Amino acid sequence: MKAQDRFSLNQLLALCSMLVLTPALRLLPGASARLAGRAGWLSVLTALPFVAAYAAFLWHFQSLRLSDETLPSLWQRALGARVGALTLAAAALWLLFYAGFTLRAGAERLVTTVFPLASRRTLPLPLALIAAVAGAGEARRLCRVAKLVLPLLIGTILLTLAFSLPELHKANLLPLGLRAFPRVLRGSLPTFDAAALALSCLFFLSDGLTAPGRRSSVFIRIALLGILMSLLVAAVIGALGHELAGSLTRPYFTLVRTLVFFYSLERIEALIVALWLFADFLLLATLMLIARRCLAPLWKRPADSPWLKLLCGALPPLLAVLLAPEAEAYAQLSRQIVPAVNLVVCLLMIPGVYVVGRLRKRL
Amino acid sequence: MNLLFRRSLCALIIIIVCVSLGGCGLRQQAREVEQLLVIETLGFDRSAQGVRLSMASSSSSGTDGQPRRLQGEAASVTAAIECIRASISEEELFCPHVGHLLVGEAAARRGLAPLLDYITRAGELRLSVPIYVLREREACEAVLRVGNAQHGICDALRSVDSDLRTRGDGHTVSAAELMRDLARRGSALLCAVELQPSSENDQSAGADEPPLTVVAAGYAVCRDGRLIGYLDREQAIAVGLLCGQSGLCEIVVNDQAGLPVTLHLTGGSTALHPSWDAQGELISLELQIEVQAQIREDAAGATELYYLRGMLERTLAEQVRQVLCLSKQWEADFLGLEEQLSLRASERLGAMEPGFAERWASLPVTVSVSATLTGLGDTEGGA
Repeated sequence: MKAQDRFSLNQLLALCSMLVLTPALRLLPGASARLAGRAGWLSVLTALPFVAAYAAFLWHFQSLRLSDETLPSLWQRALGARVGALTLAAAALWLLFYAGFTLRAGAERLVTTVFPLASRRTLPLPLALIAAVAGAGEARRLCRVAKLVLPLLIGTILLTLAFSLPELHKANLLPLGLRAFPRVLRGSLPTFDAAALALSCLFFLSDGLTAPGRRSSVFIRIALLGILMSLLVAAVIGALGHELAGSLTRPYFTLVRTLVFFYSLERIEALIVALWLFADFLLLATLMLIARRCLAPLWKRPADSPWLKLLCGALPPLLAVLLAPEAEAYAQLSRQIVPAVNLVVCLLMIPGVYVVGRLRKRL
Repeated sequence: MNLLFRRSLCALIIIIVCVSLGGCGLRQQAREVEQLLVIETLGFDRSAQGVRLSMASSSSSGTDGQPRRLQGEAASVTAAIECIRASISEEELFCPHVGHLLVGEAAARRGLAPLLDYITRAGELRLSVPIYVLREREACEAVLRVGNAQHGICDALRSVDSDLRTRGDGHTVSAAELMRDLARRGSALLCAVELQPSSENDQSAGADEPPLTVVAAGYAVCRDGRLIGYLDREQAIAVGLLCGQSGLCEIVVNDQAGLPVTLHLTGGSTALHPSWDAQGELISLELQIEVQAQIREDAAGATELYYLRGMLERTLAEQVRQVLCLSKQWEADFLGLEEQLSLRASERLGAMEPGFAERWASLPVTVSVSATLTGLGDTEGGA
C-alpha cells in the first residue's frame, strides 16, 4: 500500500455510506413493502443488529492483518497463495459483475425517469467511462469525493422526507401486531443485503487506513444510516401504502414525483435522479478498484498495472450492454439473482475464508 | 505531448462520448415554456376505438390567455395522447403537470384499469393527481364545454378541489389512494362531480344557453376497479363522519313548526365498538358518533334546543344507516371499517375465519349519534 494512498476511518465510512445508497434505494422501499407489508419501515431497524454483527466480524477479520499487510495478502495467508489468488479472482469477478449490473440499473433508472429517448445499451457507456477513470485512481480520492457528496445526498433525502410528511397516512404504517414479526424479520433481508455490500467494500479497503480507528464509529454510522433508511421506507409506505409501494419498481422516485415544494416547485424527480449518479459513480469506481486489487495476485502484476485497469474498466460496461435486455429478465436479476448471490458472497465466502484460515491456524 | 495536453484531450473525449452516447443531449430538444401547451385536466372516456381522451389547458397557459380544449380517440391512452399531439402544430403538448383527471360515468363503469395502468407505468402523470367521476355524462362533455372563452374545466375543478378541502361532505381522492384502497379493501371512494348550468351571467358569450360548470356531487363507489354506484352529498356527510374526514357542512332539519333550521356541522368523530363472542368471533359492531354543530339560520328563533339536537341526531343516524346499508348491499367496505377495527383488535381480526369482508354483509351494526350544539350564531334569539 502506497504511503500517499491512505485515508482516515471517517473518510472510509463516508465512502461506505455512499456505497449503500444505490442498492438501498433500488431494493429497500419496494422489497421491504413486499416482504413486510406496512411494517417495512420496522424491518429496516430489525436488520440493524445483524448488520452490526456482520460489521463486528469484518472489523475483527481485518484487524488480523500484520503491519502493512494488504487485504489480498491476508486472504492469501488464510487460504494459501494459490487458492487465495483463485478465490480473490472469483470475488473480483463478482464485484465486476455487480458493477455491470449497477451500470445497467443506473441506465434503467435514468431512462424510465428522465430520458425516455435514451438507449439502455448506450447510456451505461459514458457512465462507465467516467467511473473507470475514477476507479483507475487511488482509493483516497474516492473517499474524499464521498466526503464532499454525502452531505448533499443525505440532505436531499431529508428534504424529501420533510416534504412527504403531509402525504403520510397513519393507516398505511399502523397497526403492527406480534403476528407481523416473522414478516418483519423476512423484510430485513434486503436491508442486510444492501449493507453487506458496503461493509464488504469497507473490509477490502480497510488496509488503507492511516490509523486503526474506533470500532464504535462504524456502529454509530450503521445506526444513523439505518434510522435514515427506516424513515425513508416509512415515508414511501406511509404515502403510497405498502401494496402500491411493493408493486412499483422505484417507489422512492415515484414519491418524489408526487411532492410539491413550497406550493410551487414540483416535478423535480429529474434533479434527484441525477444526483444519484454520484452514488452510482462512487459504487462503480470502488468496485472496479477493489476488483483490480483482488485480481492482482492471480495476474501476478501490481494492482496499478494498465492491463488490469483496462480489464476492470472495460468488463462492467460490456456486461451492462449484454445483461438482461428483456424487462422480465432484468426484474428477475434485480429482485432475486443479484441480491441472492451478493448474500452468498458476503455470508459464505468472506466468513468461509476466515474459518479456513482459523482451521489452518494461519490467522 | 505534455501532461496538460493529454489530460485536456482525455477530458474532451469523455465529454464528446457522454454527450453523443447518452442520448439525452441531442435527441431531446430544449423547449421554451411559451412553446408548451401545459395540460391541466385530462378527461377519460371509452369509445368504439378504445379510449377517448379530452384535454384542457388552464387559461394561464398558452399565448392568448384562453384555455385550449382538445380531444382524440385511439386504442389506448398513450395512442390517444399521441393522436392529440399530432393534431396540434403551434405548441407542444405537455402533460406532466396534469392536476385533475375526470372520468366519464360509462368509462368508470367499464373499469379504470387502462387509466391506472397508464399512470403507474408511463410515469408522466403524478400518482397524487385527484380523480373525479362525472355523473351521468361523458368526461369529454365537461372538458370541452365547461366555462367560457376565459375559464374552463381546470378552473372549475380547482374550485371544487379547494372547496372540498375544508368541507365534510366530500373529499378528493388521488390515483395513489384509489390504487391503495382497491388493493387493500377491494373497493374505494372517488369524488363525484356533476355538470350544471353555471349561475354566472356570461354576457361575453352572447349565447342562449348559460355556460356549464361542474360541482361536487358526493362520492362514486368503485369495486374491483369499476364504478358500482354513488353516494349523494347528504350521504357524503355520513362518509366524512365514518372515515374521520369530517369538516364544515350544512344540514337542514325542521323545527317543531315544520320550518327549516340550518345547522352548521363543525366537527365529529366515530368510535367503533366491536363485540366478540367466547370463540373470538365478531358478532356485532356498534358505531358511536359524536358531532358538534352551530345554528346557522333559524328564522322563527323559537325552537327548543333539545328538539333541534334530537332532529339532528335522527337525521345523521338515518344517513349513516343508509351508507352502511349500501356498503353491505354492494359487499364493499369502501369506508375502511376493517382497517379502523384493526387499529384496536388486529390480532383478533386477523385470526377470524372467514374474514371481515365475508362477514360484513350479515354483520349486525348499531348506530348511535350524540350531537352537541356548541353555538347559537351571533345572536341569542330570532330576528
